[in-house]
Amino acid sequence: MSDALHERVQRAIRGSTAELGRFWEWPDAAFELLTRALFQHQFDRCAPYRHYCRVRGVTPEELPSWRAIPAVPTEVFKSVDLCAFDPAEAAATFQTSGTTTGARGRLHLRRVDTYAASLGPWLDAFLLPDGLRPRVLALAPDRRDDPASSLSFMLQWAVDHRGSTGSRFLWQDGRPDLAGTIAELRRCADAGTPVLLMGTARALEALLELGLAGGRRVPLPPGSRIMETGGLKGSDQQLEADALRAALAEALGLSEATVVSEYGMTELASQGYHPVLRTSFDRTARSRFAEPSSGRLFVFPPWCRVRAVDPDSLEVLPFGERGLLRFWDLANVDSVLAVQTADEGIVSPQGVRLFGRAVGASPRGCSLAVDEILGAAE
Amino acid sequence: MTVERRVAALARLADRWLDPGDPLRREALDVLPGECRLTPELVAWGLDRAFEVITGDALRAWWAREGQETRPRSATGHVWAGNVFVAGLPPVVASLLAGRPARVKAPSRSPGFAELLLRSVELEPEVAGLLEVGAWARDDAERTRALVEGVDVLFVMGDDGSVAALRALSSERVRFCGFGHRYSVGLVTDPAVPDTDLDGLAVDHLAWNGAGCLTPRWIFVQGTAADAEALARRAAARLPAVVNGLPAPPLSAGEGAERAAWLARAAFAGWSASGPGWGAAALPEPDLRPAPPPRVLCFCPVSAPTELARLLGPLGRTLQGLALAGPADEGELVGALGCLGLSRIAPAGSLQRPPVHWNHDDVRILASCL
Repeated sequence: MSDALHERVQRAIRGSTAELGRFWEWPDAAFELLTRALFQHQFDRCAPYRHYCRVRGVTPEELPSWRAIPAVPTEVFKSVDLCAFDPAEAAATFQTSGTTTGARGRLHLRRVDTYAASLGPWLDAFLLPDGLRPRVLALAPDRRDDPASSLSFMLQWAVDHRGSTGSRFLWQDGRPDLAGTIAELRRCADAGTPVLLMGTARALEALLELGLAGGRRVPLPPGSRIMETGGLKGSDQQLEADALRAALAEALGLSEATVVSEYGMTELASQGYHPVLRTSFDRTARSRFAEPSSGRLFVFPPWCRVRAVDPDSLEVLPFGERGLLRFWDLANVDSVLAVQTADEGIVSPQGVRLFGRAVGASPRGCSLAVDEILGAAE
Repeated sequence: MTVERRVAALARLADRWLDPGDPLRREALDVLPGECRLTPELVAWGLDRAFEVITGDALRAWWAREGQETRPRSATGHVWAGNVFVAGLPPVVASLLAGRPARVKAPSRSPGFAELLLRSVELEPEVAGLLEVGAWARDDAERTRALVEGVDVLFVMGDDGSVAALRALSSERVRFCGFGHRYSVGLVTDPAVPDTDLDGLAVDHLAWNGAGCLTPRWIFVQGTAADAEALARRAAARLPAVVNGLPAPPLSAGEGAERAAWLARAAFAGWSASGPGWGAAALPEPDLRPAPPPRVLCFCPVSAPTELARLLGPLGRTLQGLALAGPADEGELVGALGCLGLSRIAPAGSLQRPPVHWNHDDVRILASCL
């Protein structure tokens, strides 16, 4: 069982405080120690991952560093249950939306408390650095309605643990409850209750285009803020993220510094945030993130390291070079901690500058598109 | 104008393209890598393979086999596509050899080779004036219609949809020769094949950046999964030297992500130490889907060569060629795989070097021009 590991990870996360000098970064040795323990556990208990590692000639006994832990592409989560326990005993199973291929990636959790232990402090650090307990309004289904959504889990945690009285989900018939949201925002504005509005970029875009169309504004009280996540992929209205942030700030009478982007994915237990709000409350953060508004900078917790890898060789690149993002997330206790994404970015000591999903297949020449033929034949 | 004079002109033209100091070739090496997303080395390799087979002897033999003197007729039409820029060359050579004007529609994004070819043809008085070249987008229906209506033979390269669309546009009087997208395979009948055969399979795959119709997408190994894996390991170890000769352009991030996801399912995945753009992998069983990404030599076990017919059956009649390493009864292979469209079997390392008279998709190219 992995209970002892869960306790170790949670203890380490709790110790990630400024006082211990471990808020932004852990010493290599501390990260390495915990990483090795988790890798050993995942290698021993997850047969498909053990096979995957052996094929690549990597075992816990012969691991030069945490960077060498075989990373599993997110695509594989769609076809293989990567968990160090019987998935039938999962306390929660999160699934990807499947918007790209139809197949849905799965992350099985034996315990949800470590997941919550990871998301809580970082959400606090970047969305509530002033310790405010606002009215949390979530433009998404709640956890009961969509237990397979990691986003709903996160939003539910925010509503339950950080929201003031009246915090709620605003979702109806499979879509954002825009009329209800506008009414709720107006009530908060009238009552002077600060709001934390959370939702996907698409939901917030819908709020702008339908709920707040025609230049209607609902200026929110001071202290209010917004979290957007998920990007605009597949959206009809391809507002750039910066434009979306600006439009939201304008419509809700907020400074752009209060609109915070979040970057997360189902396969990871940890999330990254744009530090724009944090820097307005924290002088050390201000010096650390010199130009937080430029690009799509995301900061991950010290228990979740990220590096860019070369698309050709999949070797880890030095800071400052653009490549595919790879994560080592210690909150992935019973899954696999090393995850290879198809997202492009540049990693620096400050965080990740995200460019989004890597696209662009090579010209196919006169070679047959085999998958299309076989797909059509099914 | 006699055929012999046209043969000599075309042979001289080919020699010029093979001359490293020739200004047109040098210009091609400047222009085509960017247009076709190939390295200069791959472009040079493609030019060499395309023109080295256009010799006086080869053209005479071709004429002897398929040719005949005819009265002057209208032009042949040629629709080119994709970044395998010489794929449409043999029908143009055939047309010029027959003394018939050839009108080429080059892809709008990569017109370079067609335009350079035109300039080289203009240097040979015996064939000068026979070639016309234009480049326009496939959705420029007016220009495409004008081309189709002005010829009585039409050679079309492209994906099946584009070929079908042009076939529908052509009247019954037009002899239509469509060449859709195809795939090829490798077959190793003896897991103890020499390293030179593995190098040859690598060259067949590396050419055209892993994306040609004669590119072996899978290399089937007659034997066990362990045999396939052992060959993949040997191939990976030998790749650096081969890759140095045929380096690839860098993978885009999207291609890299696609390849990483595919390699995750391989029983073995190894990279060339000096050329990370290429890799070798082994699958424990011959799964066709998802297809290996370009630039991965994919080795799979197969119980017997005849098993390939059943395995590849779902891909229909789209098999182009087979690169062979080890002893095999070629007649038996043709018998087993002909129903899949197979029109070329060649030793490993020679698959991508078809002779000028190759009956691509069983079409007699020169005879079609007459």
